Amino acid sequence: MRHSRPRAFVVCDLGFGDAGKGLVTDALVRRSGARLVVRYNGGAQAGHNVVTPEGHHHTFAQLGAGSFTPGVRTFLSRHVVAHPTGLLHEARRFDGVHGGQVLSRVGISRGARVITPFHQALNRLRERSRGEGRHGSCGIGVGETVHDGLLHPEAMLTAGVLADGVQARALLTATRDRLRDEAQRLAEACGAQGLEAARFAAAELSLFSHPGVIDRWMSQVQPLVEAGCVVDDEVLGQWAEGAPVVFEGAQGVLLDESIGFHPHTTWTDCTPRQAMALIETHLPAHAPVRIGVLRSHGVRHGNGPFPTEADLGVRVPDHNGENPWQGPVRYGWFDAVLARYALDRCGGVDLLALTHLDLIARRGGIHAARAYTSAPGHALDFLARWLPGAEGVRLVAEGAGALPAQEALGAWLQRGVVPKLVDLAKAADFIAWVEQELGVRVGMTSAGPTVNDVSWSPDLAD
Amino acid sequence: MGYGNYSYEAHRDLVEDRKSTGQVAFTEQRLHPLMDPHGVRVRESRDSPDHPETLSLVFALDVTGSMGHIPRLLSQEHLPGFMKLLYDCGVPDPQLLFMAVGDAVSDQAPLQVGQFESTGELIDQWLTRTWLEGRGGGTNEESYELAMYFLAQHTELDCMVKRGKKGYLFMTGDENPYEVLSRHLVERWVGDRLDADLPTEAIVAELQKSYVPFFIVPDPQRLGSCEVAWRRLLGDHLICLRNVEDICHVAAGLILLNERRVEKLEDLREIFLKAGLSSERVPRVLHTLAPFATTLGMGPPSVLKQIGNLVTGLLG
Repeated sequence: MRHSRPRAFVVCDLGFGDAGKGLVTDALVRRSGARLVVRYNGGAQAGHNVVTPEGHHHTFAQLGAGSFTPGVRTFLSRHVVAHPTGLLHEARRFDGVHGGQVLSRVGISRGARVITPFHQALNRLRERSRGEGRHGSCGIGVGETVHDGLLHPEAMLTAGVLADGVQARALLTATRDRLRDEAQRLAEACGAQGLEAARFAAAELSLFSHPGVIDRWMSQVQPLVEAGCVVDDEVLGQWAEGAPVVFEGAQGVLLDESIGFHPHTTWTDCTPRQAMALIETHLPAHAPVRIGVLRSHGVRHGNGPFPTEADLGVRVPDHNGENPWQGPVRYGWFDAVLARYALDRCGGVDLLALTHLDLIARRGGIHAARAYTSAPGHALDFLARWLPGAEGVRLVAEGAGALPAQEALGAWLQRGVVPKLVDLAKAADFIAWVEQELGVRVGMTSAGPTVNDVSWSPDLAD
Repeated sequence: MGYGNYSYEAHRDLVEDRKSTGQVAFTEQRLHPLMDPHGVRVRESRDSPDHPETLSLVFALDVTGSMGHIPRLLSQEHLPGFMKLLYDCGVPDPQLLFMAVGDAVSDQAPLQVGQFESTGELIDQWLTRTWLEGRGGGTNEESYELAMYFLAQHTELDCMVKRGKKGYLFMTGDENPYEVLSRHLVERWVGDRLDADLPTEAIVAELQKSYVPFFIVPDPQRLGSCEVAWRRLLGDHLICLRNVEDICHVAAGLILLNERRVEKLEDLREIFLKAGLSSERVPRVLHTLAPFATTLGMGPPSVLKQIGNLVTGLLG
């Protein structure tokens, strides 16, 4: 089937993240001939792994996961929370291993919010002061930056300001002074947790008390400005070069700020919404295709509800192992109830991408949750809408999207439900079952780490 | 490299870059007006509702060239945890004054004095304000006696006034004090007009009315050049560290021993372990504290006594 309009693929994780957006993005770029990858949400905390057929590997945080293909650009849209020095680090690492000058292929929207060292320090202090009660944040400061920007929109440092040394310094100084009291309070809370935490807190807190920090940081981000990386949103149309474009999502719908289960969420819109708006504004000739990514099993980093959590009995080959801020990676069975919930709440997708199908053959079949039964003392009303065969059932979760409702839903998932499992013997059975349960066609599947392990359905085959 | 957290690496660079260039504290390029002792009537260490039973502590650090790395080490590595360590050791309300000591003859700021503070963050402010002039006299003498004079004459401690309990002075250094404090230098740096020069011995005697002073040499190699003079002045209150990184734990140990908050030196082992000191470092700290503990009759049993016990045991 030929397409008269170039397509804009919107890659969106329908779970808790880690579904394989890196692989899907890389494969779509190679397959479609796209010249541009657009990041439409999240920020520097992304960790999208791509392994090439030649064996090269990179964990993409701010560079687009299509960067292995020569000439393919990355555009960090205004919805991304950028970390300039982190980006420079990543570019150096990428160039060091793979050669080239990847920064010459990177654009950051002038409107993108910028994480300051003070937001990052505050985030790290907050995580540390919580001790065991971490919420799975990566210690980068995305949430602090977004939250602070909501309270003080006029004081937000954006990428466009970086070139103006005077204004940038003024905003940084104001940010530092605005956040200092909170940092002090959190550092004291850390101090109550032992010598090491106190030492950690002192180092982070010292960022707030030394005037040299701002100059130092400004000189560190300068190469980004000088490389011409900060651009207007209008370049989107030009950089697309009339070819398909891949919109690479971050995080996952179940971590979305209003869909996920408070407080185990991220401060970003994880649905395709922002990508669709960018396409409508800047790429009006492109036809959007939303691709929801799911693994053959459940995965989640850090704390939070995970009803189907289980020992899979085999090792899952994963680049996203433990990291000191997110805690250990957890696995479980595929959860059709949560997938339905994600699809319903994010506005739906056009096709699915199913990854890690090789796991099914390796363990000789797999379980998947089709429905839940209630745990003793709990009722399922709250979830009725997303249980199978319950179409038309009233939306019981009144006030859905509000934090208390999301928190209550999360609590239910943690205590009130028992997954009802089905057995699926082969990958083909799994694919057919998912299509039936979720009512969406599968457009691509992967059974290994590289683009060579991807199979395409007729929907994406051209 | 694991999880590709480049932003974490960048942040760490920023924090550590400042560490390596010593900018965490000590950014001053001249004497900070708030640390100038000239004209100061009194530095007070007071009880408050939050800290009803203060114990006044002074760290007076030799900041001349050969000793200049110690304040950095203290501020970056150790002082942040020192207050916590003291709480863990059962000292409820420590208040810490930070002083920097140089040479009154040749330096532009031979004495810098902070304020008594109860939190690590506030102490850190004084460390930040401290100017590391880094010169010193090269005469094997520094003006330690000027610092002691200031403490004896210009501080007031609630622990002393209200409870008759002396404060503690921990002065680091590796040189001798001058034998006499010139009245001209006192007037120049502190602003007091004296009738006569003061013998250092007299200053120490005055200081000991309200403080328990310790002179702490950072490592055994430096002990030789200053041991005689300090032994004469302070006796067994001259402490020589095996390793300078032990300084906060040794100071805490000296307080606990002198306050008799433990029965014997060995009791400190568990306290230090609980406070997070590694099991490799505990023996070294205890070893450093052993001579002082022995003077108090709290030391490790002597070899002779051990043999005696053994013999008694065998005979019995």
